[in-house]
Amino acid sequence: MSKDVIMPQMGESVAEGTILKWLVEEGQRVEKDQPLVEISTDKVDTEVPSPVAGILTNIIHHVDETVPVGTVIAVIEDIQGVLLTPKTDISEIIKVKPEEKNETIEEKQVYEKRYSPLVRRLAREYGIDLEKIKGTGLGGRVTKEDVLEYIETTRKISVSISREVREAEVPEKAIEVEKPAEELIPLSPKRKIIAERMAESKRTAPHVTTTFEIDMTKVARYRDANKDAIMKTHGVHLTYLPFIISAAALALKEYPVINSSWSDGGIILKRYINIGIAVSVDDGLIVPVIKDAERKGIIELGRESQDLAKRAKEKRLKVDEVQGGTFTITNYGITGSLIGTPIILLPQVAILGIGAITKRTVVIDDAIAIRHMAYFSLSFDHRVIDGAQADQFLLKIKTILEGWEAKVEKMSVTQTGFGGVW
Amino acid sequence: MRKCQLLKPGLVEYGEAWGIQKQLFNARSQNEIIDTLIILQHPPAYTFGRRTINRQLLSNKTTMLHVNTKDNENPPSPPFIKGGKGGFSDANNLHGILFYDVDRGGGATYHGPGQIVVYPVLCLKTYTEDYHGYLRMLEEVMIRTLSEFMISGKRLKGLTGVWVDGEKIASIGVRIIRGFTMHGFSLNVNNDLRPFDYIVPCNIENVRITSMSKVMGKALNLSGIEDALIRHFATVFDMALETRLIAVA
Repeated sequence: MSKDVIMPQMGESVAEGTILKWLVEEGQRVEKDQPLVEISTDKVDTEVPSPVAGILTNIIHHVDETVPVGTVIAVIEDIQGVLLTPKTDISEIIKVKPEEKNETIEEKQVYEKRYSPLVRRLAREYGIDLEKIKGTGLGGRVTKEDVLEYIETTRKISVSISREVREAEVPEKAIEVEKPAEELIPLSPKRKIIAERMAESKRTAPHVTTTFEIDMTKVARYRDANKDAIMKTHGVHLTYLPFIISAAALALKEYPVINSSWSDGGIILKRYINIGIAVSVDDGLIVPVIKDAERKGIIELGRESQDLAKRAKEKRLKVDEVQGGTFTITNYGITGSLIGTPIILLPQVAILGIGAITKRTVVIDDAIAIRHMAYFSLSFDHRVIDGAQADQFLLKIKTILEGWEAKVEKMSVTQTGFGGVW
Repeated sequence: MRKCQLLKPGLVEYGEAWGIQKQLFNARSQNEIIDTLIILQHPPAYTFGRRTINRQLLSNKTTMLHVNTKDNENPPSPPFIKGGKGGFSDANNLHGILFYDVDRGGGATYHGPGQIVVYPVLCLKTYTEDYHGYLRMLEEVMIRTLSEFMISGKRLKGLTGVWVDGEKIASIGVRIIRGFTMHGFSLNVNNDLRPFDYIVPCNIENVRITSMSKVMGKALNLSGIEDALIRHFATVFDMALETRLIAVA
């Protein structure tokens, strides 16, 4: 199927556009949304993206031509139509497979075979089991041609298998090629994005990770004392996370450089605090964002983080719910990890990793006590943040969490939640 | 209220500013930052938009000096940021003024100290769907600003920009990709106008260029005009402009 590329409508008062430059030549492949052509109207330059994936088969209007809005300027042949040609090749090869199966079964009945030195040498070189080859020579003998043909076919088949690995409905046994020792899993778009972002972050931002041990006992006590009531009145299952988000938001307010981004022109401080929460999903990782976290109480934070995590797993997040983060929290403690060195999500400059909260023996006033402890690790971009600032920031979080009772005293429980800062 | 951040980096070499614009543009189009208005000045630079018809620079208005821009058509990326001025051939350095082939609409122009340059990096569709409507809004910002200084700026039909008594005081050239904008406009305030004599500004032959100081007969305080531009930009685009602190590294 072909699709027309038209001179786009660039506004009510814009009647025509001039073609500046074709970015793709006739006969070249294009992806959907790939810039196709640069156009210009008065003092505005813009690009027209490809409406579909396919092959640019026909450029109708060329450089320097000025045409009215709505004019067809090129034709793209849809990718489905285009792919048919190579596909027939593959299906022919597949057709060969069932026959081969029969052949190998027949082979078993043939009595012991003798091979010429040349055939044996070829078999050694290519690592072929000669038993699998049906001979066409005298008395069913395997000839050199048989071996070479076998090599050729298996190579084609293995190529076709890797390309068709997903849609192959043929039972596995029909494919008489040994299972390869390695398998190629095609990259999903999400995997590609994750790979690019992670590599880009490590490449550009010099990472440093600093770790604090934080006593979560007071938060744990507070949580134990209130979680049933909160469940009853607000329907929110209170976890540790909202406390941590809340503490981080407050600390970010005090140390705005942690809530910034790098640009060559300077460090951009952000006065809004949007905290992303890394959520592990089937095919990777997604980071929904809690906007204006510093203005929300723990109940609201709890409700929102759980709602976002749930919808992330169900793939029901809206685009703007994963954008605009200024800082990220990753809770790898969930899966048992104690300490991590997370990778910063650019263009942010820091990420907080939460280790598992476990009961440990600690020394308090020269006495041994059992406390709920956790390691908090902050990875930061050393271009923007120095170690001392990072530690002050973590210390602030530590102070807030370890002093939770003190905070609690100031709060008054109201119908809608807690008053004050939280 | 739509929010927009304001960056005022001061005097920035054109290529470097272009690089910063591209970074901000990319960040904006991926929704990593909010709308951003850059207001700055450039050291002397000629820039040629993609539709520059006459790329020749005129020397003394009589001798034509041909400039080979072929080598310059695909500027290194990021453009000129790293090598500074060292990497330029003589052809890119006329009368001691660097020139750049740039990816914006419009023709040739000149930037220099004393001229206020504004680059809005916006998600345009929140303000207008109309590309030419955007040009009119930019003109409106400048016309209102000029009127505050008792200068009557006008539009001339078919000749985008702002005109004072038939002379051009401000130029516009923008790039809009997937609904996000970059490049913008320049308003002549105190800058030297002689470098315009060596080019065909905005593809208009024999155009006369003027500046606010020429109209007023005296040099003006740039920061006062910048403030007025920012204020009128916020009004015309109906946005809240907020200055961001820039710690220059």
